[in-house]
Amino acid sequence: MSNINQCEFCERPLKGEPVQKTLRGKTHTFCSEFCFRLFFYKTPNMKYENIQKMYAARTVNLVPQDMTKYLTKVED
Amino acid sequence: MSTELDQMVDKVIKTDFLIVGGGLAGCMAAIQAKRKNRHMDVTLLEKSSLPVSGSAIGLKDFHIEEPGMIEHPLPDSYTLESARKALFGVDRFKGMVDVKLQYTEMLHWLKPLAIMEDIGIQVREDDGFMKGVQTYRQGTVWGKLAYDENGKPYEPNMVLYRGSDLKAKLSAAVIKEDVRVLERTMIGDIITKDGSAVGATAFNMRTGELILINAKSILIATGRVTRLYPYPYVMYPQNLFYSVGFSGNSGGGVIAALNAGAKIHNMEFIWMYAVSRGSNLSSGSGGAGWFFPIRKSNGELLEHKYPERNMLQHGGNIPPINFMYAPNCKNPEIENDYLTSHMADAEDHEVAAIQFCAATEKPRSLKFHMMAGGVRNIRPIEAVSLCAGLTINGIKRENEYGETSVQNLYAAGDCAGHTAGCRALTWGWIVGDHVADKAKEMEQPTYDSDQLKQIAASKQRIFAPLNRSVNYVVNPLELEDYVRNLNAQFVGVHKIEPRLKYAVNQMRWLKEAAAPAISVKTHHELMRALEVQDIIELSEMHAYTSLMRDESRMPPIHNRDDYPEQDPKWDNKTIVATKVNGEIVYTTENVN
Repeated sequence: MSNINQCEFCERPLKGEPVQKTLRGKTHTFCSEFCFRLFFYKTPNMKYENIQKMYAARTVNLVPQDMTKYLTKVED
Repeated sequence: MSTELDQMVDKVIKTDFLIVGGGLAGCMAAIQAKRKNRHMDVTLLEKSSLPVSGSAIGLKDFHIEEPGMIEHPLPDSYTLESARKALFGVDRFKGMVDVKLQYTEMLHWLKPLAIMEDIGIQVREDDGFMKGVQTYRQGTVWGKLAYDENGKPYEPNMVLYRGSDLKAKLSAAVIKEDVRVLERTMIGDIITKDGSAVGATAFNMRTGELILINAKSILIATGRVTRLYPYPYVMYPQNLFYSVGFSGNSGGGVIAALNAGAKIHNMEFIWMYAVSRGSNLSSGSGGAGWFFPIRKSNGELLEHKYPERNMLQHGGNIPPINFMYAPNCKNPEIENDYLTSHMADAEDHEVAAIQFCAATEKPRSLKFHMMAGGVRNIRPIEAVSLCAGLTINGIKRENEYGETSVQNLYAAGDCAGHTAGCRALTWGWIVGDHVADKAKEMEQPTYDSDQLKQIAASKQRIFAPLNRSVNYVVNPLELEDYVRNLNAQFVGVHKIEPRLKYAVNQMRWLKEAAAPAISVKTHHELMRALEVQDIIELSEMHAYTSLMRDESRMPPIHNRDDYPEQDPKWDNKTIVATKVNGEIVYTTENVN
């Protein structure tokens, strides 16, 4: 039985609202649509640690800005 | 007047802001407009169904493509010079893209990203960081990190995030903002008054209902013109709906804008993609060319031979990176060989990169990879086959608000050329923000006899193919197949004058002889009938402008075999098409 506290595909602990999909009567829980797709197409070898490896080889960590300042305040 | 209108159309809708197309640009425009001015009435026309449409969507539907792997540039350090660099080798782009518009875009890049985060799209990873990638410096979104002489990574200029649910959340936000969404509804014609757009006709392809939308402002966001070329490795009729972009995008918005008097430019430039034959047309399959070692027939690794990945005669890296292995018409060593990609040699992180890429773009790319035996398929596959991909052509925007040469008619997203993905989101935001302010001061347009004539003509044009009585019935899909193969054979990559002239003449003949013989039975087929007429007109422009530009620029995008060199006389010049008295007129205009 799968651990409901982690993503069924990448095994990442769930944060925020999980993505739940029902396939052939069984409910599956994922951390994101991204993982659902990988699961759905039976992609092998794509755990969260793989993504982290890929990030390490190809990306730079950026400290995010506070982007809420760009949001338009909704008028009443 | 209203009685006359009531007799002509099935429904009249009055709105402040009409958005044609519910992709990234359309959705973002709708959200920002409503957030800026919540009393504003916004109507969105969508030919498909909103949550599953556009080039940024993925669904387990064969016709629907590309969920959102979106790279978001960071504007803080950008200057006008950065804008030039970001055009991936501005020397080759001279005259094709307006750098000032590009710069305007950069100033607003973070704003749609803020909205996306606000509506629940995960733009930063679990560790709290955004993941930046270096793009134009290496010529690839996906290349390994590059470092300067001090061992520090070059500044990244885009953020990479997992955006598979992007479109689903955007469309949910559109609904939540109380936008009127008309699904399965296709634009007919734009109604104009004194050089200004004042409304549009549209028809529902399920009910056949003709709708008139009286609008203060109109945004065309109908996406990239994707259906000018076939994808040769899928059999008819699937090859009509199997392309790099969303195959619903036939260019209807571009033709509607052209008919309304807007300028269409850069039609000679169709980006060519090199992809893995036998796989499908996504970055995931393109990824096979990006990440996996590609060998010549003698076993030589291309990456070793061309460490700078500079294979084109005109020099420079041409992103996306799969361009570099394109049959480039200039390098016989590459052109006249059989290249194969060797997936089995790929490292773990490279496989992960491809899966990431495929999973955040078209899901079917993953499916096809799996059907072919997985991304670690040990059988080498032919690396290069060519198809038309991204475009830089489309509706010409005249100011920093995305307005066209027709007043109150705006263009955003890929129908305006080179503004896909994050750019579409940004331009959608810019137009939505601008129109929200402008709408407060504008009066609802009124129609007089001239507009009624336009509406009547539009109705006649839209419904003409329905149950038309002809001796020989032309099927719109067969005609589209023919047109797209004409483009492949007579325009394509190796453009030469006699073939281009033939293509122009043939397209004109099709307009006169074949289009009037199209006859369809249902409203859904009627959509196809209208689409193919648009495709013929776009193809004519594509062939004619290719003929006019007697040089090669950024081959294989525009490669004239009879004029193989880039000619400085064409620097900063764009070919513009406009419609005058029903005829397309071509002129050149200076850019930048």
